[in-house]
Amino acid sequence: MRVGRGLAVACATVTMAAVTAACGGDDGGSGGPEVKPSANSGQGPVKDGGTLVFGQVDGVTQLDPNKISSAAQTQLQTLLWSGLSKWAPDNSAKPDLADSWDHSPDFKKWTFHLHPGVKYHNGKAFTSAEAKKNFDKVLAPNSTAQVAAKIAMVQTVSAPDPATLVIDLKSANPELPTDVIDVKMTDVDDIANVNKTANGTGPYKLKSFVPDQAVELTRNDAYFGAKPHFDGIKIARYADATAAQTALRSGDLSVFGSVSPDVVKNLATDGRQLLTATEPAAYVVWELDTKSAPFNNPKAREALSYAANRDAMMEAGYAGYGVSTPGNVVVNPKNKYYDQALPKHEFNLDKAKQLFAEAGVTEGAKLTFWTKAGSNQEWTTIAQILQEDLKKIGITLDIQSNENATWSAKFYPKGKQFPGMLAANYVSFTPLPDSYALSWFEGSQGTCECNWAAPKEYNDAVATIESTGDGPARDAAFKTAQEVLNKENPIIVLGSTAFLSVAQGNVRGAWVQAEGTLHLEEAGFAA
Amino acid sequence: MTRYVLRRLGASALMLVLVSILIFVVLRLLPGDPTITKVGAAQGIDPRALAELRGELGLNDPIPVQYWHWVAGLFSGDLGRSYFSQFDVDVLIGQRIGPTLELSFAGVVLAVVLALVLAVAPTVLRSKWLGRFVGGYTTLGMAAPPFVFGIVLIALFTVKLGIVGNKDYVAPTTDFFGNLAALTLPALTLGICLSAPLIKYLRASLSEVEGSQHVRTAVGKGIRRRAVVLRHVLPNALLPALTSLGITVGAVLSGAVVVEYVFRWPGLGSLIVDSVYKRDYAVIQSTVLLLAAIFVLVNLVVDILYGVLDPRLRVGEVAAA
Repeated sequence: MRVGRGLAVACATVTMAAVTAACGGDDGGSGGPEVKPSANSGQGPVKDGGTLVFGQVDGVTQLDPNKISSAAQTQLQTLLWSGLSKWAPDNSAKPDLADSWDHSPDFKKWTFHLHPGVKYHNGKAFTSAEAKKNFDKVLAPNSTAQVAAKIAMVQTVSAPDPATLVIDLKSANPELPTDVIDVKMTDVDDIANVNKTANGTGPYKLKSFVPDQAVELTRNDAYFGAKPHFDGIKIARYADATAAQTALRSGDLSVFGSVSPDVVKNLATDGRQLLTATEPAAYVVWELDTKSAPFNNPKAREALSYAANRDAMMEAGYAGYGVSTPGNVVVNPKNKYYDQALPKHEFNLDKAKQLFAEAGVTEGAKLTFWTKAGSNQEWTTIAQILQEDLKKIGITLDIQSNENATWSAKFYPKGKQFPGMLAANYVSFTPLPDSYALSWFEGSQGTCECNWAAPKEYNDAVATIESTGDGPARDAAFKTAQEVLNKENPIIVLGSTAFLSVAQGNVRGAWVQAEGTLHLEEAGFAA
Repeated sequence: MTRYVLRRLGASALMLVLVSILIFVVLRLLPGDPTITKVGAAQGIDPRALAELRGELGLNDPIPVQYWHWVAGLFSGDLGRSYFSQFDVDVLIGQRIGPTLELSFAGVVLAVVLALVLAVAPTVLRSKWLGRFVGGYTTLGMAAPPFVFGIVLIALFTVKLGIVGNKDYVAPTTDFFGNLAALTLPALTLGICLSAPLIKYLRASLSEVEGSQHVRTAVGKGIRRRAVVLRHVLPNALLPALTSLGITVGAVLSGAVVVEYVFRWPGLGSLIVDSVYKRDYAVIQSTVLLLAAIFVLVNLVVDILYGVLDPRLRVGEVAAA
C-alpha cells in the first residue's frame, strides 16, 4: 500500500493511468503519447547541480514520515528519509539502511544488518536502537501511522548491537523486507520539530517548509549512499492542473506529477517525457456497505458488477490509460498471480436487472453515487456512464459530489453504515506477491470500509499467502482468495491504473513506483 | 466627533464578537471531521485511536467550552495549534500575513491608479470611444472571475510572450527585485479586478457632480474643462467613492484568495481554503477572525475619515446628540 486510499490518495485531482498494457514503451491509451517507467535513463551523462522543481496539485501538510496525511507527502518519502529497505523498479526490496537481511526458516524471525556510520541530518548517529524507536512508535497502540496495518504481525523489535536489528513476528511473513519499506527512520527524540528539521537520513535534507505550499530540499552531502545530483529539489503546490500545466509549458516546472490522463496528449510534447509505473498497483473502486440494504445481499453486489461497463469507463475516465478488471478483484489482470480463469463480469444489463430484481432492487429503486467535488473528476465521468445504464433498467442513480472532508466522513473509518450508496474511491496496494491487497478484506483485521465478513475459506487463503513463500501452496491460495472475491463482490473493482507524470526532456533517472511515487533520489539533469 | 468615533468603535467590537461566535459554530456544524481527515490515509485506524485524537484536540468538549478555551487563548496570545502541521497558528499566520498584505497593498494601489485614470480620462477628453472602452473594461472586470484573468495573464505574458515570468514568491528582504518580479502578475490581476467596480462608482459620481450648479458656474466662467474636472468635479466625486474604496479594501482580502491560489502566493487566503478543506478548526477560526478584524478596522478608518471630510456628518451627530 502506498498511502492507502481515501482522502489522501484521492486528494490528488488526478489522474492515474497507464497500465501495464500502456507501459514498457507501448503507446498509451487511444493512441496517446508513449509512456515510460523511467526518464531517459542511460541516454547520456548526468551533471551535478541545478534545482529540480516538482509540481503537484496537492500540498504537503506535515512532515512526519510515518503519519502521512496526504498523497502529496509520499513524494518526500524517498528524498528526506530512508527505511531498512527500499523499492527497486521491479517491485522487489533492495538494501537501504540495512545492507542485508536474513530470516529463520519459518519466516518468523528477521535480522537486518545496518549500514555503518549513518547519521541523521542533525548529525546524530543512526543505530539499531534508533530503528527500534521508530518501529515502536509506529506500532504503539494509539498509533495513526498508515504503515502500522502493514506490519501488524510484528511481535517485538530488538537491537542486540548498534548494527543489528532483530524483528520477531507473531506469524510468518516471507515479504517482510517489502512491508518495512515504508517505516521511515527519523529522529524520534526530536519528533516535535520534524516539520522544521525533518531529521531523516535521506539523500536530501530540509531547507524550508511552508505547509500546503512548498517544501525546499537541499543536497545532503553526508548521505551514506550514492551522491545525489541536484543541488536542491523544490516540491511546489499548484492551485489546479491548469496552473501546473502552464508552469510546465513555460519551463518553470521540471516535473508535473499526477497528470490527468485527458491532458497528457497535449503536455507530453516538445520533447517532454510521459512517465508511469512498469506495473500499476492502483484500483478504481466503488466501496459498498455490505451490512445494509441493498448491498447486504450478494446478488445486488453481483448485479452492480455486471452493470458496470468497465471498458467504457476506463476509456472515458482514464483516456484509455488503464486496464479494466473483469474479475472484480484487487489483483492486476497483468500480474502473474491474477487468476485468468476467473469468471468475467462482462457488461450485461439484462443479467444485472435480473440479479437486482432477485435482491429486491426493482424498477423505481434509487441508489446514491458518493463522489468528490473539485477533484477526481474521472469518478464523476464514470458515475454518469453508470447512471445512464441503470436508467435503462429503471434504477435511478443520484450522483452526489462533496468536498473532501464531507466525502470521507461518510464512510471512514470502517464500521460506518452507508446504505444504498456507492462510495467512489481509489485504492493502491503493493503489487503482488505481497498479499496486502487481499488481506484488506481479511476477517476483523481487514481494513476495507465495506464491512464485509470474509468467509473462513477466504481468511485461510490469505493466511497461507501471508505465511508461505513462493510455491504451489501459495499459488493455490491466491486462486482461492480471488475466487471468493469474484463470487462475493465485497466491492466493485473497475480497473487498474497508475499515476502519470510529465518530465522535461532534460530530466534523467527519475522513475515511477507502482503506486505512483516518482523516485527522484537518483535523478539529475542531462549534462 | 468623539461620540461618533466611540459609537463606531463599540459597533466594531460587537461585530467582531458576533463574527467569532458565527465562525466557531458554523465550523462545527459543517459535515466532516478533522480527525478522520487527519488520519484519512491510514488503513484500518482503530476507532479508539480516533477518539483519543479527538480528546487531544479538545473536540470532545461541548461547543461553548471549546469556544471559551479559544477566546481565553486569544486574550492570552495563544491562538492554538494546527491539527495537521502542528505549527502554532500564530506561526502559520506570521508566515502568511506578509505576502497577503503586500499583494493586497499592491493590488489596491494599482486599482486606485487604474480607477483614477480610466474614470477621469473619458470625462476630461470627452472621448466617446474611450468611454466605450472603459465601459467594456468595467463590465469585463466585474463579470470575469479573478482566476480567469490570472490564467489569461500567465498564458499571455509568461507562456506566449515570455516577458514576465510566473515566479515563486520570495520575500522582499531576501531579494527585492525577485519579489517585484513575482508580484507583477498577481498584483495586476488583483488590480484589474478591483479597479472595475471603483471605476463604475467613480464615473457615476463624476457624472453626478458634473451636473451640479457650482460646476456649471465654473464652466460658465470660461474655465478650461480639464481644470474644471480636476479642481471642481473630481474632489467632490472622490468623497462618495471613498466608501466604495473602503469596501474594496476589505473585499480585497477575500478576493486575493483566488489570486493567491492561481499564482501560488503563500498568503492567508490559501491558508484558509486549505484549512477549510481539512477542517483544521484552530487555523480557520483565528485566521478568519483576523481578516474580519482587518475589514472592520479599515471600514472604521473610512467612516472616521468620512466624518472628518464631511462636516455635515459631524453636524448631524451634534444635532442628534
